[in-house]
Amino acid sequence: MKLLLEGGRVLCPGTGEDREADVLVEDGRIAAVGGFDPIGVDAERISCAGKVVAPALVDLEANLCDPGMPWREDLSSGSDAAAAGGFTTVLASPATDPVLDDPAMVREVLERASSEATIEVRVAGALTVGLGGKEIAEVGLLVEAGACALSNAGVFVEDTAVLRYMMLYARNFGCPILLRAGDPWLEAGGVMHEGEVSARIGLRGIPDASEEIGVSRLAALSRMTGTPVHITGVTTSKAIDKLRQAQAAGVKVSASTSAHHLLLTDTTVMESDYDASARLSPPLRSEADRASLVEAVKEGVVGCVTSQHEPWTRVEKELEFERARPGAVGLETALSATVEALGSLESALAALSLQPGRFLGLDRRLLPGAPGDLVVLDPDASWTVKAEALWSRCGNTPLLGRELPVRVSATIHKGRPVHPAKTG
Amino acid sequence: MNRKDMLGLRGVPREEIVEILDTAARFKQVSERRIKKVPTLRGRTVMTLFFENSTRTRMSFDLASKRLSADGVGFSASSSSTKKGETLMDTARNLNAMQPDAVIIRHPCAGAPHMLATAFPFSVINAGDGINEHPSQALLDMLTMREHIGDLEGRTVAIVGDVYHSRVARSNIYGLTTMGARVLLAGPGTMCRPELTSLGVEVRHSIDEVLKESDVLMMLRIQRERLAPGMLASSREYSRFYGLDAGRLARASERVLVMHPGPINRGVEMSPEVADGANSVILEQVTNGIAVRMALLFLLLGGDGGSDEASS
Repeated sequence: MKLLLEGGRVLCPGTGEDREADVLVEDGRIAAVGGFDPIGVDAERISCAGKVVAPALVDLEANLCDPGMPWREDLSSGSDAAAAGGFTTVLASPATDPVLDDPAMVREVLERASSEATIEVRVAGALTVGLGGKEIAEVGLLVEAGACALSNAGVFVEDTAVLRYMMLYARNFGCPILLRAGDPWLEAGGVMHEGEVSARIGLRGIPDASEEIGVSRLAALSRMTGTPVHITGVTTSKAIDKLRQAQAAGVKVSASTSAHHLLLTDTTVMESDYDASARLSPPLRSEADRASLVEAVKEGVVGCVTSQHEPWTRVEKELEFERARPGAVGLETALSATVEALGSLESALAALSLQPGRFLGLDRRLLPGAPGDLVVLDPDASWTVKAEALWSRCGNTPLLGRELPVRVSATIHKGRPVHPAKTG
Repeated sequence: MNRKDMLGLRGVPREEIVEILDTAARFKQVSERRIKKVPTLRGRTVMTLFFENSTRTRMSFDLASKRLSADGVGFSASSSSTKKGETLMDTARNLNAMQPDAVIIRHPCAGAPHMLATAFPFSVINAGDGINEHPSQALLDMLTMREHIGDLEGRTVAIVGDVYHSRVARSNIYGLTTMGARVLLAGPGTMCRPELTSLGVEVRHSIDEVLKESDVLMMLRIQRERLAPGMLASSREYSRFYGLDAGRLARASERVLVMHPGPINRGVEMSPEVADGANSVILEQVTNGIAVRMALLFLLLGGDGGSDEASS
């Protein structure tokens, strides 16, 4: 199958390209970017006039809730949501039921994904049994079964010795490790960022020192073991300082944050009158933290932005703020929120496509021979987030009702349109 | 006053606080009559929805409803479907189907009253939500202060004890600062944390630093059940550094008001002779509680004006 993306503006942070060009995709790969005569090419055509053609997005932190929680999401709905958001590769979190700590489970998910998902679902195997943070999972067997990363999802590993052994043990299997940074004791009982707003509205806080300590701890162990570590959910100014220091000293720590944390702050909790959709983990931080985060992403200290997609049904969210589960759906809003926060489509694409692609070993550049995974974006369109219009099974997002820039016009995976409706 | 709910004193303007206190002052005399009842809210339904134990607040709201001739019914979490797993919103949907005019809620989670207020047409009065607010308590405290020291503008009120976990303190801080009073906090560092200064108050380290300047000493109850390990060494140490005894009281202004939201841990927050002494207005606070709650119900349900009915 051939696909011709006609007359768009090609924007590729990986090659630095930003120009008008036709893009030809053939047999699942990019065949040509400009430099050919589109007239007479026998291909399905998508008119991209006034649109941007860019490499498709890659997500490092999505909960697809499959197996075990189909009322929240599954491979099919989750991949539809991803495609609608411009993603063609998603690293699925091991926080499923049962947890992906067993090679047979990893095989099963990957096998079903090949038929049920419209995009590429990759799997992160659990670093510890049941994500409990105590016993190391059979990470070698998980990698052999097809896991392309190892993660402890959103769960802290409390025991520093276990963390150290985990880094030493897992490195032999040549697979990236993703961990959250935080101190479970400092965070106990907290439900939002600790600061002026929490003091004002009487909710128990999660101090920023928790993340700062967490990053320091992971960086120290990474330095000592020589194992590269990717820290997910970096949200505070102080943690960014620690990260920057470690990177400057040559420690192999990379990091990501979520699009929600780039755009929103803890005042959302106050302004929404304790609406549980603003309860996230890590929590939405202060404006000063948010501003540091924007800088850190632009600078590359925090290289990747993730969706931190975490669907919860109304039953699980229509609760008192302190009792509701933390998390929000994010696949369909990540790009728009990131563009809004960074004020630059190119920076957003670097953080949502190029960098996470690199992390997973994917080539996200618009070059002949690269995978035919592309998005067509309308850079001038804006849209309003509505729960009923989302492809995800759940509508829990603090962005409801908010107008965001940039609309995904089409998502192409392996040379075939997967969003909107499968016309290929 | 033109509002549906009383969720907290954060953001409530000075005129409204004054209106509530003035109305309460007029309602006070209803309770002094032999027949303690006015027909003001006849035919209106007031529900109390308490998810935490309470004796005095609940009784005070019940009496306030009854003295205004409203029909009051109570719902207590221990005897209800909550124990069977029903969510707050489902419970509230059921209550709403019974068409109440007002629901008075106490709940262990901050923001629970706000959920109901957003979702339902009935008036919601917050009778304490988590560690957030307890506005009727702060209003009765301010009424009591006003009766003794007049205008609160420029006065100094010290709040002593576990401010962090106290919804009484948070509501008082909002109300008092709005009224132009200066608020000092004193208590253990774990309970008077630095971020509280963002509420427009001054944080001091010891009770001795606030005694002299204060017109009011508001002593808070130590709520052991809210304290995590490491927050307090012992009651003995607490009373040594933060408790109010006769010796300390002697160093305060002769006319200082001693207040406490109750129930008192005698010998911890204050010594018995202080609690029962000449400066203590603790029982007046309880009496004023009914008047303030009558005023709230009246203003939320009865619409504006109402001075005629209040004094009828």
